[in-house]
Amino acid sequence: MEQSKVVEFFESKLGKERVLTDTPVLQEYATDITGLRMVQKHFGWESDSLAACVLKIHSEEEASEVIRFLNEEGIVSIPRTGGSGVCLGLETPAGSVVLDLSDMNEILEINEENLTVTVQAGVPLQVLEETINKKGYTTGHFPQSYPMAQMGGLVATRSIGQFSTMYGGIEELVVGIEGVLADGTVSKIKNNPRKSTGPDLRHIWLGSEGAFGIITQVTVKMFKKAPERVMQAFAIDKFGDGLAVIKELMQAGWKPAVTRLHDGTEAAETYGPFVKDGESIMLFISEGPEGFAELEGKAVEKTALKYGARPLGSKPLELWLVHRNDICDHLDMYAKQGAVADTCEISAMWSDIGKIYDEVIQRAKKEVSHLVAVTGHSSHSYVQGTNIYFMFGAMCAPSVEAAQQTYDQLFGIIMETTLKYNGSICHHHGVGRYRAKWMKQELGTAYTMLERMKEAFDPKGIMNRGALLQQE
Amino acid sequence: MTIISCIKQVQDLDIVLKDDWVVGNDGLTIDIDYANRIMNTFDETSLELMLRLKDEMEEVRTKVVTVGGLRSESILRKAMAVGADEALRIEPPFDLDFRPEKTALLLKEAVAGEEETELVLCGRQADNGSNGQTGQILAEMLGWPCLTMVTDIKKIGNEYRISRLTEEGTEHLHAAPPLVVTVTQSENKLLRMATLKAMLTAKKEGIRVLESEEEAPSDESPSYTLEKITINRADKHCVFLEETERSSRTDQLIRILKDRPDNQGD
Repeated sequence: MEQSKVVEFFESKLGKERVLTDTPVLQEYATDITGLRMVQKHFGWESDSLAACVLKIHSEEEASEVIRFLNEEGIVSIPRTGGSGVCLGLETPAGSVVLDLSDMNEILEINEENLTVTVQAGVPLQVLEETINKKGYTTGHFPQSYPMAQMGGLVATRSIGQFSTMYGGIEELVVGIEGVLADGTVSKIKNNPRKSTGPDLRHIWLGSEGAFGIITQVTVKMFKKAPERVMQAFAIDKFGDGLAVIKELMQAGWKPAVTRLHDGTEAAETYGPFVKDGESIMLFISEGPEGFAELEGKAVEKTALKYGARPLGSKPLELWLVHRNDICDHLDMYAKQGAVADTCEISAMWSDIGKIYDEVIQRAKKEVSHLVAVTGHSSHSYVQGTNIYFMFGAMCAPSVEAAQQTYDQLFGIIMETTLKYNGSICHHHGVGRYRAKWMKQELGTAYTMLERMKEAFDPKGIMNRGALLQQE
Repeated sequence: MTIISCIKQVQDLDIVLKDDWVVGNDGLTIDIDYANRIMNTFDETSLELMLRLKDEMEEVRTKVVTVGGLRSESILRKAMAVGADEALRIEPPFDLDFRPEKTALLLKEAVAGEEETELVLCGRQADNGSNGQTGQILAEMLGWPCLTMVTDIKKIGNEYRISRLTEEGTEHLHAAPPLVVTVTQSENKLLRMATLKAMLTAKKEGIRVLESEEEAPSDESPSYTLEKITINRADKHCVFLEETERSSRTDQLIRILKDRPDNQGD
């Protein structure tokens, strides 16, 4: 169908005001906030692949009707909520249709008996958190995108929050979920605390990145706000020793809600007056019911001291709590300085994570000619391993192509090294379009399962084509 | 020909927590030692403008100067890592807080020591003291013209084309060197980033240190005496516009603005 006819059809269904076709708007919707695009925009990048239109969806019924039409016509659709993705997962193929669910922003039910809250996909996480805070609850979910992200996108990208070691990632928070499949079928997974009724279907939505359907509504857990909190920071000579501290804590059964280890470069940059040259810094927050935080705090202190860590008190945590999401206020700061800068998070088992960290840092320093910095921190830990959140920046010639080349080189080093040690190439940002090229290596023989799921749920390949699975 | 950028190390005030703005028992100090030490924001812009001039000009020597203790050498090294050719640190002979005329005098010694200097750039003010006078007093001492609130500067022929912010807008003018400019922030003038390699090289570079023989001013004739510090807490009152219709919402906003206690009615 001709693009103009598609637009006309939706204008007749939704009204002109909910069908956006202005070029600047389509440019805005043409990508997400991936660091690569930030700097490329600074060098003049504009998308040459714009959507036909953006639809402001207001209900699940509308989403169903719209997607049924798009499926029949074979038109690629990009579901979208907060737009805070960082893996090019929201980039629009030419002539595609963006389904913007951010107007579906109602908190439908706060259930204080079961401690659940049911929301539409476009509810901003910050609004949800602040709303239930007033009743004494928390979602326990605090990703760095907290000021920007909305609930549908958080589920679709398998988000995780800064307090995850205690509360878990979004996969542990989702209770029930409702969505629309590619052919318009509405699917509802009811709320239950646990069940044994075949595969957990929620996991088809979790991390689906819009490739299987559109998430319209989710029910997530809420928690009583912890009455007590113990915050403590430590300086430690070596990053590897810090990893050993965290490993010992995790394997002993402790779960400090915030468990972070920043390497020497990050420690100096953010906590300079607290640390000596080269020292890493560890940040812990323990919280829970009465008596728990103090008990866990003592275990944290004992373990840290055993490895020669130096107590720094709670001030670094106070600073972290206030400033942890500051970057959201000036996302393009590095781009404005002409630097290719971004973050990349991977995970691996305890046996391998230190090797990945060391090798990435060494390789980047050796191979990237105009490197500004490459740093790393562990921020989400488990009994079996942890993540490393790499942050990197490099200068390049002021052109879109040079930025791409520099970005590919740095990102490639992290991906290659991670795969070499059997780590996972995405810990919580998702795959998007950028990391899809490594997915076959990531999943190995299991890749077939993902392909078959895609074929089953989206036989015409209209759902966010190119994201999650590379377009052949 | 030499261009000098005067830079200063300050504490990063953006990081300081709201509740930590507490005046000590002496009434004169605030303990914010945990704040990282960084290059003053306006000085970063002034340094970037100098580097942009260097990018465009041939046969120019760029120099950064700071007045500060050994710890402040880190900003000089950063400046060299992003492209400044030379660095000079002037060891302060006495406490310079609230003595912009003394700081200017020390900077004048450094400028006077460079025969071919034709331009000195200073940040318009430092984040901590916020005196906003050093650059202008320096110009006075040198007998050079001073242009303030500068946002851009280019060399055209033998003159500089300067853009400066005024209350009415941006003023563009030509000025013949030598001159002093004080720089304010503007869009897309963030200081460029230093590569790791350049930082490592800069760490090994020598920094000339000037020990001034300037004598401490007598207590009888201080330029300023810090009497006490008080904290002004900004009260934020957020009012949500509850009307749903756009026109009613506008009316509501107008009502709120009119009813504000500080509204003088004009």
